[in-house]
Amino acid sequence: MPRTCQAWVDDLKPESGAAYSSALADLRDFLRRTLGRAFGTELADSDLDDLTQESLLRIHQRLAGFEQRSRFTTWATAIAVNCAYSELRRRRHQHVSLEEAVEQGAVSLVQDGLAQHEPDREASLRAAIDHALTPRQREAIMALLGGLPLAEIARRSATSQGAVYKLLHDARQRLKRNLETQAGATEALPHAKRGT
Amino acid sequence: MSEQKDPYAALEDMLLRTQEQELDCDQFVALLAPYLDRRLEDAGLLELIEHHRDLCAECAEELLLLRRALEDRD
Repeated sequence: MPRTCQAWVDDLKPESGAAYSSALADLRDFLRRTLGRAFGTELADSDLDDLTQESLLRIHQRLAGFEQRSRFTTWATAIAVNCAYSELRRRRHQHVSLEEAVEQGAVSLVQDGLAQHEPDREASLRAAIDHALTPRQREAIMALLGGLPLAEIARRSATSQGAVYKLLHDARQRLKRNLETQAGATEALPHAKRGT
Repeated sequence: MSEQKDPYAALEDMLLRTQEQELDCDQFVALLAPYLDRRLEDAGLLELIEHHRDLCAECAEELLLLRRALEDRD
């Protein structure tokens, strides 16, 4: 019979004795299968073992914070998938520094499609990036354009992915307002000329 | 894991979709489990979750992986 959410929480307490050992073994088996299903051949057997173990540790650390807003197994799998996805992302980008990503982002501004087909729009966007953003916002936008994931920008900046997202959200709002102001000024120009 | 194809176009798209109130990645990830279990009823919150999913490629991929992980669970 499957455990209820509360039974998982109760059984996963070390003082639960035999129930603890049984719940731990069941959860380990469940997480290994779900991670295998999610990531397929991206994870070797040894990776699956390591990431399952790391996930179990994180679940234990957060067990007191499980609020039963979802099924226990969904909550636990979300932690495991986040753990494995973060590790794969870290491995993929481990040889790229923040500075290299920023440099790549600057290059992409002149090489990509919009710059070639809509030079005015590209110039406006470049001007907005140069003048409307703070240095930290500019660095984060450029690193993102350079292909570095938010989580990896966060890791290199010793902050959370959420904090980087907020930084970029503020940057996008500034860029959007700046571009709208630039567009408004351009549209207003002929009227101003007619008025003279 | 997916690669970003055209960063410039991606930025343009992000600017078009930018709105005053957005969830950040940490908030999104914390809501993934109740979202997938259909435990969230607040329409405004569901809209914010789906907006973040559409804007953040990393979180969209994490949601996809979680869905795949939980297929045939029962």
